[in-house]
Amino acid sequence: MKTWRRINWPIMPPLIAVACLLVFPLMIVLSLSTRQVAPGQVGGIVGGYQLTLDNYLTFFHPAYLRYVTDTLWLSLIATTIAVLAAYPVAYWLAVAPSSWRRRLTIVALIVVLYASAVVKVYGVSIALGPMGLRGSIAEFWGVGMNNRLVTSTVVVVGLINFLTPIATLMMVAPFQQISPSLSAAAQSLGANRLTAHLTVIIPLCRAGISQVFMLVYAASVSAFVIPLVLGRGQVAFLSNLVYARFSEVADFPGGAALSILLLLITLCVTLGLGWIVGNPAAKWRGYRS
Amino acid sequence: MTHCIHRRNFLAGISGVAAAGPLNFALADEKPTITLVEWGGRTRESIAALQKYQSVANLRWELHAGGAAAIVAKIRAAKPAVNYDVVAAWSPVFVTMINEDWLETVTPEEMPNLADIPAGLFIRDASGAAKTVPREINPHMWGYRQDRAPFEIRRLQDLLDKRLKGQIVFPGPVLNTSTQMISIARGLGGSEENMKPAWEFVKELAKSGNIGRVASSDAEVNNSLTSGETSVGFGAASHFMRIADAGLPVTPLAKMPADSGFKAAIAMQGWCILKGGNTKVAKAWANAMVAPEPNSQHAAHNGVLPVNAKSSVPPRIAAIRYSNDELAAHTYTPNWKVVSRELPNWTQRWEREIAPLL
Repeated sequence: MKTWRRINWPIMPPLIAVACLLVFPLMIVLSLSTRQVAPGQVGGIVGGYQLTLDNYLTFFHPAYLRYVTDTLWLSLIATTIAVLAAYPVAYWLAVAPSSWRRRLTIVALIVVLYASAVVKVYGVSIALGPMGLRGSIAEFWGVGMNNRLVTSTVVVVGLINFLTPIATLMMVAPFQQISPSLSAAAQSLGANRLTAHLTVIIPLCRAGISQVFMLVYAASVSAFVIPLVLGRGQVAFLSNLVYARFSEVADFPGGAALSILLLLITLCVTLGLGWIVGNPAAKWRGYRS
Repeated sequence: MTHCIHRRNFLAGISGVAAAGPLNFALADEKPTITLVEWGGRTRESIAALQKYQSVANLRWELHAGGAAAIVAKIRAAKPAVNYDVVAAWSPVFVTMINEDWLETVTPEEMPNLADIPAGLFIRDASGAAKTVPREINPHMWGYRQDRAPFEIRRLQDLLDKRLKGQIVFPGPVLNTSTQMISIARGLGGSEENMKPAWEFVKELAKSGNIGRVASSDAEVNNSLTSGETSVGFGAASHFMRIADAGLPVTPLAKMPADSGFKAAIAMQGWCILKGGNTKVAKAWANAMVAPEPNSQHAAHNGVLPVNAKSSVPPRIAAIRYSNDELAAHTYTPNWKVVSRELPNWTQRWEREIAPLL
């Protein structure tokens, strides 16, 4: 009886709805991923149900490691830069007194957020294309314009362009939860502004920043249009391979298997990163004790 | 005399409009509505302009998103519901839909204009029944910009020349349903059933660094060539026509010597009528669209070859018009059933063997 009372009934309907919308389709995808492929048929599914893991084994070819590393590594670089770039702006938005500059910045961020991702991607594509700064990027890296390193850089810039407004707006909330008087108190006790910020503000909002980092990283890993347009066929994310299978070659089992693998990889990496960025100091203390 | 808007006048006006509303809808609804899946851009403009030639149906438009094959997945997902009446696509996609037994049979008895279309252009099921309504022939071929390419391209092997570093826009493995790969295979003595020569050649091409961009859409091929990012590419003849229309000097390698290695793929584009939809009206509509005059106009607008024998061929596309002898010498018609079966394997092979070399 006590257990029933503990259940928060008002949240149950949305919880059930979310579970259905998430779990049910996932089950379908999982089931699809174990079906045998019949090339030339829509969906590539053999009639009847014959369980197979071949669709998964296909992706254990060493060549696919490159797609995994592109997805995870370039996303990690882009997320890190986006969060670092967002940090000072978000902090200023959270603590600055209301002014036209602050309002204008918020409006600008929201407008950028609402702008179509495709428009932004093509903007980057033109700006960093052969007629734009691609040559300078190539020169910076000391390679030719068609080098993969240049394309990877362009993809990272595209991701940063997409992620920074999201990271900034999301990061305002953690800063707003911290009373400005805490920093003032530290300064009144002799700490300078930088020390007060590093020793008071950052530790207090570390959990919030970590959450922002993880959410932005998840958005980056699942990016589709950015690597498709900016990757020029040299750089592709796993989501691009999934799309090709579902929409272009009608290999539904292959697409489903890759989707499940992408989910598992992302889950592992997210948990790992969450563990690393979550509370390293506490963990370090834990190890020492 | 002054005009004042009083509350009563305003309400009377509103009620008048409200009363006339259903009448307007009734007038608009005299013709049944069919749902057409069509390409966007210039093709949509062209088909919209042709509606003056028919009075059988109103159109509800839906545009292809991504490759034509994507619509197949949408149709499958909606089954057993049929959300579309007419779908514009091309040869390989039709083959897939015929395999699924989704398409209505079309006959000259029901659609008289089909009698003027060469029988060889229809795609048929195993029993020989025609399942498609051809509307244009759009060969896929190599081409280059004379003002940007560093030399005149005469042979397939020229694509490996160091002077073309970063200058080639190569369609991705699923774009054009891999006709670019089959074209290379055919040019080097292979076929869709023996793709080894093509894979060997494209590996060399990827290693050479001459591929500046792998395109994932026709628009990317067009933009890349038009902007001058690259100077050599493979695509539909209509795209080269569009680049030429923009005033840029482009040479489609349509009728190259047999030993050049350049072969054009002959692909038919057209419509299919889905079973379970408003088939009677859809057939009447498609029949009207392939009459000589609209078919000529469509071809002229899009830079493609018309299919109706009574249609006129615009002079500007003479370069891609083939006589029977030229068809045998410079082109091939892919075995779409083999292509449809092998495409997933080719996609994987591209991901494993070619992409890492780019």
